[in-house]
Amino acid sequence: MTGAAADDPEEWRLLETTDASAALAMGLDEALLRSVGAVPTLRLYSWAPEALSLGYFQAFEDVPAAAEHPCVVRRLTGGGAIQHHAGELTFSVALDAAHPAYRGSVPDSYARTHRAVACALEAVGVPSVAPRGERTCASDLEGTGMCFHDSTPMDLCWEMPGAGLAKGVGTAQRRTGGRILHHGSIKLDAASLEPAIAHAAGAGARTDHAALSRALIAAFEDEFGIRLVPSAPTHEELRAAEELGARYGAPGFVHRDPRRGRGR
Amino acid sequence: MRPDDRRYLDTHEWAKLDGDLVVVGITDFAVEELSNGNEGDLVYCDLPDVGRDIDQGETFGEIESVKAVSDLNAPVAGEIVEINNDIDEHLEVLSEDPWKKGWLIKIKPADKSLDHLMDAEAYEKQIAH
Repeated sequence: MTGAAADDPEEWRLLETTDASAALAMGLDEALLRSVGAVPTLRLYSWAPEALSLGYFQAFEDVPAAAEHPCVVRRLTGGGAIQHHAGELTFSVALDAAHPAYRGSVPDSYARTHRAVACALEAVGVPSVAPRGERTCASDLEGTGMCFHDSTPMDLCWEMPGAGLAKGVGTAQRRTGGRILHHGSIKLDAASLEPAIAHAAGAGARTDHAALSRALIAAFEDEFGIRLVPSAPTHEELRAAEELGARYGAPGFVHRDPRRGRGR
Repeated sequence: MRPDDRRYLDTHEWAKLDGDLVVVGITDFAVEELSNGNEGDLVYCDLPDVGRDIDQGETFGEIESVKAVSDLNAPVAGEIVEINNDIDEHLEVLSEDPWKKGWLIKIKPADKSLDHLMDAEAYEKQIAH
């Protein structure tokens, strides 16, 4: 006899899209964000070619690295800019705002998601991953506009030998139309445009995208009491991602600056 | 209990009739949800241009906290006739006085009825859920 259905963990969708183009990366996340009523999705992805994403409200001019970067996009989520290089793994969670997993305040949902990410990082060998709290981050740098150079008490940090506490995970949410998109960036290795940040390799962890992905899947399943079912984007989602993705790298969107003149 | 002189959306905006206009803001619950009680966590509020026509339920702006960007939704259809220009430089008023000084926009409504929105009691029940 099998157990009662009510005891079965809720199934979420797992999408792993390696080497996504910047447009597909962002377009697919927006397509998932717009899928009202769909089962929650955890997406794990890497970018190729590498890209630099600006926060939704950031001015292009406030991120000096953007001027020299060949592939700049603007995210739907806020916060600072992120270098999506080979040593970085991006994740996104898309679900209804009323879903129990994310019910409550923004900080509450951050805490749960960050617990899962911290467990995954520790599972692959990064010691003592924890929210910054009231501590000071050596990776906080003025004037770069980079997400990893601007920490908040909720951000996940760890000690980098010889350099002190640094931020190694950047996350941000978009809430729209009764849905939530939670973006996250995890650093496995050093980033050329983000000096002084924390990364797994610098903390002595020998890991890669595949190992960290497996650890994240296990940690999300444990934290949220779910089962992640491997899936692939549907044709409709890919078509929507292509249509929606076109704007993310478009000059009008990348260079828009709502803070210095209304309009978008 | 939230003020009962206005109506509420399930997305945490409030709407209050003031003569021929509808004044719109966001509730203390929305501010708390975004900022966890730390007023410094609200970093930007993007409001629309005066003169814009909006539909009921349409997004008229966006508000950013250190960790989330959220839409601002119109409770009624009509023309935006005034925005609160003080908000941009003084986001703390959203925490200090969301019901009065923290108003965001004023709409000249196509229909002044707010009956399609929740009263304070219904809103209280929703956020307690």
